Amino acid sequence: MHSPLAPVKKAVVRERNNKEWILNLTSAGPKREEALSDLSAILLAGLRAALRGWTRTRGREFDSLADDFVQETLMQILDKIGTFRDLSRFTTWAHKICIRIALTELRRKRWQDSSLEDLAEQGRMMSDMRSDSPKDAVHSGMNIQLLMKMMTEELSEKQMAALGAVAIRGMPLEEAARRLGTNRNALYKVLHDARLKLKGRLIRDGMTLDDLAN
Amino acid sequence: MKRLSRVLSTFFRTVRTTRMTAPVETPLPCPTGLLKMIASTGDDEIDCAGAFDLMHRYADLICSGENPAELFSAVKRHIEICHDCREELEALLRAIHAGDYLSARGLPAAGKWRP
Repeated sequence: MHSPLAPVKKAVVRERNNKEWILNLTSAGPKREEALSDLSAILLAGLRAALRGWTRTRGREFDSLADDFVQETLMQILDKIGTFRDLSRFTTWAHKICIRIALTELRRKRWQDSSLEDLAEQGRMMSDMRSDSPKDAVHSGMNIQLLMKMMTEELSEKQMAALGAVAIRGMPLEEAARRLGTNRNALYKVLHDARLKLKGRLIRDGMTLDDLAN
Repeated sequence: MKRLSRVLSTFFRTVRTTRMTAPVETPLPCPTGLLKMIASTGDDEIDCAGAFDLMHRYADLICSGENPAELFSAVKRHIEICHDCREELEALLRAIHAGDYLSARGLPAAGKWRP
């Protein structure tokens, strides 16, 4: 049985300019169906390349996953097609929406099985990192304890939790936001404020921007 | 001292309750990376929604060989700092190239769209 997105005929996707995409997708009848089918094929080809390294991009499992992402993308595109401004290629705008949908879901899946054992192991790695001054910390590139100390002295509890999740643990923003009961943009704002505070503190402690960056 | 203890306690409680652990394949971010992120911090930064709004235009400029930073310096700065948006831009560029390559070669049409 074919996946709904499996090639069922060897017709070639017709090239369209932005105006044609909008016209076809907002029309009724065969032209709309053809445009949706062509856009599905373009998005699917894009996903196969975009998701390399994230998941296996061959086989039925991927076909099913990609089908879900593409269908969700098409629904969102049809819903917000009126917001598209003719300042880029239409297909780039469509790919962008598809990538956001796919990566949000894959990140969620990747992190849902993270275990407490992983945390304990990371905690041991972190506790092995030592040095005495900010400059030593930078030069060794390994001292997280000193940073943790600055974080506790400079940041609010909310900022600590956010920075701990995203910058220390490497958790994706949306997943961290979901677990912290906020949203991606609000979390970014919290992180920005936290980084500003830490930057000020490190500079007060005698670090230069070159020290920080190198 | 009390504050330090309280904050640390909250931090590790949050870690426990939110299971903030990296998956096996994700490397532990090192403090050097965090320091670089702090060094790049500017007073005014756009958030992820602001970067997302402009990301397709930014990507098209890259694909056409232009320098997007001239027009979209705020997006460039955001992408340097925001790992998630950087991943999305990289994935978007791969998608654009793949779509263009296959379109040029004649892409088999997909199945019917499922309403």
